[in-house]
Amino acid sequence: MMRKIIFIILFVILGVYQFYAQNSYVKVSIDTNKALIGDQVNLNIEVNSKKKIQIVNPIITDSIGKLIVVSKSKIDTTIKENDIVYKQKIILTAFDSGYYQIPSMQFLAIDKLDTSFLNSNPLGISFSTLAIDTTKPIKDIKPPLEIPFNIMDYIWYIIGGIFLIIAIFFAIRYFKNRKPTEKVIPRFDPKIPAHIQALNDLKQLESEKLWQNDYFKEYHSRLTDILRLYLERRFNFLAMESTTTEILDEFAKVISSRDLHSNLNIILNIADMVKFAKQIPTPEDNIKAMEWARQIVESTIPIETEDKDISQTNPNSKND
Amino acid sequence: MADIREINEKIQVASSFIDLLNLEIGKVIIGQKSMVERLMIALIANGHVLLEGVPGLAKTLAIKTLASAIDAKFSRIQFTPDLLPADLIGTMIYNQKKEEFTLRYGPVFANFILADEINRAPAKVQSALLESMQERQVTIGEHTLKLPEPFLVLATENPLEQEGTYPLPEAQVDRFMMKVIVNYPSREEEKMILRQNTAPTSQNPNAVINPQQIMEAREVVKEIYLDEKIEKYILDIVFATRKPEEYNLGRLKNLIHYGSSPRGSIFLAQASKSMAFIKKRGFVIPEDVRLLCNDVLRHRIGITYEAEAESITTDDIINEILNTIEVP
Repeated sequence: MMRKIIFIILFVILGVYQFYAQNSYVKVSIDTNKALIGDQVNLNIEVNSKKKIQIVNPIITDSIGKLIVVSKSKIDTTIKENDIVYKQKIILTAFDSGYYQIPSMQFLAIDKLDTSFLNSNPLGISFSTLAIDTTKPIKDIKPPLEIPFNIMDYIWYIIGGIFLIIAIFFAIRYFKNRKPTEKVIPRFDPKIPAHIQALNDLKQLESEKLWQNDYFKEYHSRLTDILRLYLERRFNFLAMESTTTEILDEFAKVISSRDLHSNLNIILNIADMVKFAKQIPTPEDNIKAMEWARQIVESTIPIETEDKDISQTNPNSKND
Repeated sequence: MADIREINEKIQVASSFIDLLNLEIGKVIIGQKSMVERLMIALIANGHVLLEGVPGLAKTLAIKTLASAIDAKFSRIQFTPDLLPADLIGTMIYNQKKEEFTLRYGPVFANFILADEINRAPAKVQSALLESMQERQVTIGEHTLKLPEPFLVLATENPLEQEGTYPLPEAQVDRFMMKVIVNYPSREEEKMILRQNTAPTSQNPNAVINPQQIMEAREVVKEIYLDEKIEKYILDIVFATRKPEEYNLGRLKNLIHYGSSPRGSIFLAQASKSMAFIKKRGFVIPEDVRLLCNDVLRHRIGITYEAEAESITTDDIINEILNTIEVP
């Protein structure tokens, strides 16, 4: 009797468990069982169980068997009264042709009373390559596609080009209109002999009557400039860039006449006093300065020989 | 004209000491007339002189003699790498007896300073001296003290021994009115130097003037007439160092790194006036400018590596400018 009771109790317990277990199931399906390599296939997993049962999913990494897992959706949970349904979609692919098996997946069902496994059915899928028609000739690689012309694609290049043309135009205009670098104005015309130039300039200065109109500084400045330019051209030293003492020293080297030297000394010193010391010269000083300046020029005119090949200087000169 | 006559008369009186000074200095210094003349110009123009020359060319003797002839205080400072600014300008010393700090004046408190081998001292000592040259005063602790007048600094640079030196920066060299190159005496002069130094007796200069006369002379120098034409000549020269291409000196453009500062124009004008004073003239002539141009400008012009490679000096550049710019 006792044995019967124990048997009945065990039967009830196991029966209840069986009842629960029978109410939990796993359903695994794929969209197709034939695909081209690289195609993506959906693997749908659905686990149905009672609320009380806790389902532990198998860990799916980056592949299932030899199939590559492209992506996994989140587990979608739906509750229906006492039941609960878990759904997940896994996208699979393969890059080699052949038959692939999706092995049985094992889910753990944990109940208060016991723990059991729920196994899915294994599935199969074949991946095949494209059928190549070997009767047709091999075609060349397709050329790049022609993009239809659109002006907006080139707008910045066009604007840049316009700016560049404008910049070049203004640069050319700037350089064309720029003031030419100042040319050095020659102090004298080399075709005109030094003494003729000097005598002409002295004559011109005299005719302007500068000192008679109280322009003493200008008169003596110009007179000494004419004389210095003459000495520079005639005796080939930098008279325009020399001071009075330097000019007298150079003059003494080439002219032996004491009178001429003395006269030049007086002319230059009077001019220095007028130019730099605000001295007002006497009329005699002004007249004498002009006379002596002429005398210096006339006394140092080079004497030309008959064949005009060799030019000699005046007897007053040392350098003949 | 009356103005110039008045100035001339004043100068005749004020410059009478120049002959006496020359006479006294001539007792001791043989030759080196240019150096002595430049020292007097700087003294009258209230400037300072940088001397460059090999040792033994009577640089120290010249300034010492000048100080003796003017009856002024003279100090010689040998610049060394371990010299401190306090060694130059002075410092505050704690007096244990009085229990207070007292001033100890440095050698810079003199009328004539010979800063020997200035480029041997570090920059801070050079700065201390150059600041006192510029400001004519020094600050020790909380005390700002005026330096005595006249105050003339004669600094020397030794061109042969450049190792272990601190070259003077351009900004500080610019403060010297003139940089004078001292050359060897002529054979005849050296013969006289030799005789003078081997003679049984030696002559000492007498004090013929006092510092006050120098100060009065400075006032007269300010009245010396500088014509507009001379001003233009000075400006042409100085500007030609900056923009040579504008003065038909385009060939110098690649040789000049930087031209003279405005101090160059100011000092050239002041020095020219002093030169006129020494020559007892009440007005400046171009010759005064020409004579001092090299001394006033040679340390204010920077030359390029190209010029250095061709051994072109600032003197060559100045001479080229002088030979191109027309004398008024």
